[in-house]
Formats: sequence, C-alpha cells, structure tokens
Amino acid sequence: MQKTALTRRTLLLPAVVILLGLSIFPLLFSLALSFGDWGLGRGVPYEWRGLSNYAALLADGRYRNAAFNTVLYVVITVSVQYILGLALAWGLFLRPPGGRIFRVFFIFPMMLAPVAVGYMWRLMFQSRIGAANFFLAALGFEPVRWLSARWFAMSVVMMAEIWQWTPFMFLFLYAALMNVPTSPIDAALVDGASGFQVFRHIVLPMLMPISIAVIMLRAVEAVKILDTVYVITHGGPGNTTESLTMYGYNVGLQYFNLGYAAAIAYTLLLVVVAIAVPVIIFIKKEVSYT
Amino acid sequence: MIRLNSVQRWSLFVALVLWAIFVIFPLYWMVTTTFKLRADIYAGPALIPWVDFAPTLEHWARVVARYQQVTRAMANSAVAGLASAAAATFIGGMAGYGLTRFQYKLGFLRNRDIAFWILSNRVLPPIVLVLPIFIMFRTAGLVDSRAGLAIVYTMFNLPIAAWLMLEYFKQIPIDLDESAKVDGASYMQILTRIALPLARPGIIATFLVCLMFAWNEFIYALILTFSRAQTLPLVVAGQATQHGPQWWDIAVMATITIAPLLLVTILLGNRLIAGLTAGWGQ
Repeated sequence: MQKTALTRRTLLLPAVVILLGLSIFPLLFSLALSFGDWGLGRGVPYEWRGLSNYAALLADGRYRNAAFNTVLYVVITVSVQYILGLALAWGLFLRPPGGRIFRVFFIFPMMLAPVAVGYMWRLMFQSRIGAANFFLAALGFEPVRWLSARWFAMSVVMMAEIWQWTPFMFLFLYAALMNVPTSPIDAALVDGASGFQVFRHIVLPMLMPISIAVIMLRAVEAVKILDTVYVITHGGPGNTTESLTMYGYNVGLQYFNLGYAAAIAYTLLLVVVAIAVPVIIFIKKEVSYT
Repeated sequence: MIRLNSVQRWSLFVALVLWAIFVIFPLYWMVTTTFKLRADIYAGPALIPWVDFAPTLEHWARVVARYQQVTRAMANSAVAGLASAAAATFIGGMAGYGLTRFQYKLGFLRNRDIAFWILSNRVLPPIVLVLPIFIMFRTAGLVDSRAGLAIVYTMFNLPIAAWLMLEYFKQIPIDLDESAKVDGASYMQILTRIALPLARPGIIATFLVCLMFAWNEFIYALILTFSRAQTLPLVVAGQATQHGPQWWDIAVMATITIAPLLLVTILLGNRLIAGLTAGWGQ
C-alpha cells in the first residue's frame, strides 16, 4: 500500500515541480515586478511603487496604440480564419475530386515556424523584389511600398497570420464534421432540403460548441502575437504596427525597464484569462458529460 | 450524404484549387528565390526554373560556407528541440498515466482539477514569464545556453504533452490493469508491458507535437539567447533587421528552418493530425 502511494506521488511530482518553478513562480515574480521598479544592469535594487506603473499605462499613447493594434490583429485574423476554415472543412466534407491531396495542402502552413512564414510574406510584399509589386506592374499599376504605410503593413501581417492559422480552424472543424451524426442530414435530404439548408440549419448548430472552442483557442494564441510582427514590420513604420507583446519586449529588454514591462505583460495576461477561463469552464463541462 | 451535380462538384474543386494556390504560392516564391541569381531576383516575376531563370546554387553554397552561425543554430535547435520534446513527453506521460490510474487529492484539487491546472499553464503569455525567467537564468548562468533553452521548452511543452498523454492513457481500458493485477503483475510490469506498448502511437505523436513547438519557438529564444545558443528562427529574424537584408540568404535560412517540418508533415501528416486532434469532437 505504502509503495503505491510513493509511485503515485512520484508520477506527478516532476510535472508539478517544473510548472511551479518555471511557470507559477515567474508569474508571481512578474506580478511583484509590475508593482515596482527594478533597473536590471544599472544596479538599482527593487523598489515598491504601488500602482504607478499601471497608472502610467493609462497615459501612455504608445501602449494604447499597441493595445488597439493587438485587438485589431486578433479580431480580424481570427474571424477570417474561422470563416475560411469552416468553408474549407465543409468543402472537403462534400467529397470533391482529389480530397485527400487537398487535406495535406490545407494543413501544412500551421506546422511551419512563424518567423519563416513572416519572412516569406515580407518577401512577397517587398517593394523592389516582391511578387505583389511584380504582378501590379504586369497589370499596369505603380509599385506600392507596402511596409512603409501603416495599414498596408498591418494587412501584410494579417495575411501571414491568416495564411498560417486558417489550417488550424480547418483541421479541428473538419475533425468535428467527420464525427457529426449522418442520420439527421440524411433525413433532411430525404425531406428535400438543399445542401445549403442542411449546412445552415443542421450542421452549423451542431458545430457551435466546437466553433466557440476553436475561436477562443485561436484568440488566446493570437493575443500574444509577436513573431510575424517582429519579422514583417518590426513594429514600424515608427511604432505604428507594434503589438502588446512586442511593446513589452521592447520596454523590458531594449530599455530594461522591467517593472513597466511586467505591467504591460500583466494587462495582456488579464485579457488572456478573460478569454480562456470561460472556455476552460466550458470544456470542463463538456468533458464531465462524456 | 449530400450529392453534388457535376457543375457544383467542379466549381467546388476550382475554389479549393484556388486556396491551394494561395497556400503554395508564397512558399514557392521563397524557395525559388533561393535558386535565382541577384539579377533575376530584381528583373521581374521569374517563376519557372530553366524557363524564366537559370537556377543557381550560389546562395546555398555561400550560406553553408560563410555562415557558421547557421550550422550552429541548426545544432542548437535540434538539441534543444529533441531534449525538451523527450523530457516533456516523458514527464507529461508520467503525469498523464498517474492521473488516469490513481486518485489524487492536492488540497482541494482532485484529478480533473489537477489536469486542468496543468493545461492552463499553456495559455499564459510568454512575455509574462520570460522576464523573471531571464533574471533567474542570469543568476543560474543559464542565459544563452542550450541547457537553459531545453529547460524552458520542457516547461513550455509540458502542459500540452501531459494533456495529450492523458487522452491516450484514458483510451487504454483500466480492466487490462485489473486483470494483470489479479495475475500478480507489479505496477512496473503493468506500465512497461501493457500501458507503454499500447500508448506507443500516442507517445510518438506527443513527441512530434512537442518537437514542432520547440523547433518553431521564437520569443523565449529571442530573450534568453544572444549568440552561442541562438536557434534557427532567431538567425532568420536577426538577418532581416541587422545589416541591410540579403534577401536571397535569408530565403535560404528560412527554407532550411521550415524544410524538416514540411517533410515531416508530408511523410507523417496523418499521424501528426491524429496527435493534434486526439480526443477531439467525440
């Protein structure tokens, strides 16, 4: 009996120790940092500042801009990814010719390093040698300096994100479609429903719980956006396309203002928690019923 | 099953082909760029090798020869990736196995709460954790080392590894354990003779998923390494911002970075998909 208890604890111990040491402890450390000031490398000891970092955020235009950009990145990319992913999943569900080959093409972008994907899209929209401007020229248009204009630059970032993560939506929606019971679909078809009616009134409602889950999972990841912004625009022109993670990185590791960086990071964490907690409760409920 | 007439069938086909082209084209553009002479890169939209441009290995040869940085980054990525994927799969597997076979009580937390606590670590934004980890690593002398990266990636992959392994062990009926116990098998024998062989596809899938995340990871490497231990994504990103971009060289490095996963996806696509969607939608 005693040996069982020992085995039991040993199994869980390493995972718990690692997560406590490298996840929970830094989490609390960051919280403490966000309430103070610590000039790492300048030899300034930690000094408690209360809520002053958070108060400073409210008046910081660069922070507001980064927060606004992050919201735009998340809302636009995740909704486009969902719509396209759903369309692709439904398209393959209808068994087009060559379905199996399509599947590999529809999935692989999500496996690739976001940095390389970002670079790939930067190359597409580079003003002198990018494919986009070559095609514009072929159609008789003037070349566009995509990455020198804020909204064009953000569109390129969003394009890269949509390219990379639509596959994620497709993958999980398609897996869910494959598990949808076929009898209601067949019954509706016998009653003379069209393909679109079946999709709209039978399949879409059945996919609702999974849709919410994938949208939230994507949103939680997208809020942390850094890689593609870093490579494609590096926050520029100026700081106009910066995301929250990128701003936090700049403040913390370029200017070494750890307290302020931690405060930025913590506001991001609050957003993540606000999105994730309902999903986790939701998934938990689903799991307990099965 | 919904039946399409041939017009619908083929318009659907064309729509899917258009998406496939959108997916393939940027990749094709980048990979062909690595084989173009500078003059061809600037000349216009050269698309087809031997027709639009004469392919050259010049950039590949230069990158491999001149940038010692690239070969070292490959080694760093491989070592940190393999070590952390193995560690995360092993430690996550232990936790997953324990949580499906024993009853736990940590304070008010029961098995399901513990599993969710482990998983919930996955959603924490790295920017929150990485500043303290940087300070901790500086104290411990782990900044800019492969070991440090491997440790962080193990933590970073552990939630998803534990979760996937839990899903796989859950699918192994507990009756098998019970009957083995009746036959006098020890816990160790049950684990090595029953659970591990049956979970093998799950272990492989979990390992691959962790390896992918570690190989592609950027922000921890960006902050915790600066020269010796830089990984491939960092070398790619660094080239683009430091000295005026050498597009052709970066294209080679980016291609090197994505090539292994492209290959794995094509060869093991279905297994990886099964790994990612384990326990999904049932």
